[in-house]
Amino acid sequence: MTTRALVLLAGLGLPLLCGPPGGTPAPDIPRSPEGKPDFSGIWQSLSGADYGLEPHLATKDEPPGAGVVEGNTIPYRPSALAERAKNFAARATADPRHKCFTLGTPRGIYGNEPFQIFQRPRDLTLLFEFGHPVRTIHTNGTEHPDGHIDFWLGDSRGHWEGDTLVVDVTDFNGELWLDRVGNFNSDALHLVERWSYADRNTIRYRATFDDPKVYTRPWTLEVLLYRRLEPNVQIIENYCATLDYDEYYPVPSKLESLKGK
Amino acid sequence: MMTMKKRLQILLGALAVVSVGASAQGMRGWRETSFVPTPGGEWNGARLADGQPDVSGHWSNTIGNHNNLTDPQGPLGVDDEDGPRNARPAKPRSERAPSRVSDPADGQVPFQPWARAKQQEFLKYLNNPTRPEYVEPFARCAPGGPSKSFMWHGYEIRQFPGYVVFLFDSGNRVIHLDGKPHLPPNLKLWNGDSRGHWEGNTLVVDTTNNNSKARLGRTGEFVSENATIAERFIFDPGGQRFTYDATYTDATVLTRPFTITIPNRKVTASTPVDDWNNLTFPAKHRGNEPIIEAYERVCVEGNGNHGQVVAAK
Amino acid sequence: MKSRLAAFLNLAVLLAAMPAFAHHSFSAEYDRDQPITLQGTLTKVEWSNPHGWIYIDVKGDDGKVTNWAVEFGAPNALLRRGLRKADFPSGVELLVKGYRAKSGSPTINGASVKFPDGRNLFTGSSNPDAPGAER
Repeated sequence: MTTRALVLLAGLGLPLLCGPPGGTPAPDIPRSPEGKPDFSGIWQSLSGADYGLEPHLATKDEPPGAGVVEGNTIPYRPSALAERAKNFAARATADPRHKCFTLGTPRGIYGNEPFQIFQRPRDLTLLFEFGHPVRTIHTNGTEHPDGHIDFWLGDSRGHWEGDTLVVDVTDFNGELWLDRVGNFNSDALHLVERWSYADRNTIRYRATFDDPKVYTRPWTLEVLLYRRLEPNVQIIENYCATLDYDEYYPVPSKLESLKGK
Repeated sequence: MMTMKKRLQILLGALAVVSVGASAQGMRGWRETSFVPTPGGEWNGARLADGQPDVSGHWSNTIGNHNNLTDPQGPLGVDDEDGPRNARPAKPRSERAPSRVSDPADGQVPFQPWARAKQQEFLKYLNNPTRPEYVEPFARCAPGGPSKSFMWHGYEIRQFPGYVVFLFDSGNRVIHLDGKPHLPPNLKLWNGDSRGHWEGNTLVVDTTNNNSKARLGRTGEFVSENATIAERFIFDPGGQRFTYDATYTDATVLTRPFTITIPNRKVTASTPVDDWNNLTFPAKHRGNEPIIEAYERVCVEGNGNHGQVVAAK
Repeated sequence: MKSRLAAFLNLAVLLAAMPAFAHHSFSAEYDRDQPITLQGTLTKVEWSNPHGWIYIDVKGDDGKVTNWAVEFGAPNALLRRGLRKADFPSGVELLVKGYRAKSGSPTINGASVKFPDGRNLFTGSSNPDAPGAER
């Protein structure tokens, strides 16, 4: 083969080898001492996907959105579509976000509040501001535990494919929604996430949903996550589940005036 | 003559004691009645790449739970909360662990009179919560608060450049090591806002922005939202123990500062599993080295009204 | 006697895992002076922390069916034995002993949850009392 052909082939091969599908290689991204992309930082989605994964118009309380689902429509089974309609009708009270334990996975990723990633070789620790739960993505070669276990955030095991973190999530309890308009999954969901840098302050997040109880085929969503860059920015404690009973626990300095009542 | 039913009841009680006792023997050292505090000093153990002493992993306190702040292995008030299943004879006070209050020397929280009266009221109604505020907040899955979080199940420490993160069953704490300022003072949080730095083997932490709603135990001790906490996590370089000291300053509730001291031990793959100090599971993997991991830490009882007297409120 | 002893031993080990250090004070929510025995069919199991819950439909003397909630210990102990949700199929008949909630709601703190023949629900296939098991 001529040198020219080799150079041409090399030139063709370079974009094929680098970066995730649909993405260009990200130079100058933060890397761990082991050479992997380091996703540590505080991240937030601006997608508005929590208001509705599919394209939707505004309501009095919520903005419009062009949707984050590839192909626009989630491929529900007919019975599941009926359940979504029931969810939608009851959403003012039935949306599990009102309980505020957690938005779960993956809603916590594209939710409206930020989350922090702490990364080390064996795992990524994700602390979500809303509800303040912690999700661990194990990257130490361990596997899902045996049998189905009901977890709120699922069980996450990740590995690297080049500069992309591929995370396999199973063991859902099926009690949570995917957004405010009643999109949902069952406990049979098998989620595959792909995390990669689009540039040093932007993560491209893709999630593929496979749930034969609910969907007729797998489907994928994609959002961008933006690094929070304000100086001294931090996740602020938000155990909002305590708001349900906060009135019963006044700040203690008020207890003296309440004594005997 | 003893009926079979009575004989079996006694046997059940005895077996429960034996089961706890047997596992306690396997867990000797996890219900200590005395301990030697770790002295502050140099760290000559393993270090992480950023220079922090490596204290990551699973840990647990060695005394017991948050029943009783000043007599942590003692009965809870006049009504033993163990209920009918655990008829353990109580050991004399001298054979039980000391008060978690290590200063002042009398082991009591130096309350102003109004606060002492309020604490007594919380204790009186703990087992008869006729009003919602008498339900001890931890029972609702509220976070444990900066110190009380260490008085429950085993927990995990994870370290990163600029952070030490504590993961508890209910809640978590992030210690910021990068010197950023505290949050605005009117933001009052269940687990406070913590800034820290390492001095040798000691993680020195300053915790403000406390809402102090979590209280300090079922016995009802509390501080106010004006409290500041000076904490010291003193790690033995052998990597197996650390002592937690927390000095509370609060002119609203106290007559003088006081200190809580909690001893802790490392939980490893060879620590017997008791689903209390050690809640870890063996991770599934193809290698030979033992890897332990905790399952998801989400406490969801708070939104339920299971069994509570004040359920409807 | 030996099989009942073994059953109690299993139960004692299980209960030791839900110890004096329950997430809430027992007496704050349950009444030790109101023991109760219920027979009903399993409708749901919640594998939640800090306590798991079993729900059973119990038919009263008037024929009315009430769904009772039974609190048991954190599911960790069961997960550790290899038990999973699939091991608790809906519709099974159960005999539940426990203590009533002070609130008066149909809620109990479970002391034992067994099949009518005395086998402990929580020991699954490793239960030495299971039919045909070797001793």
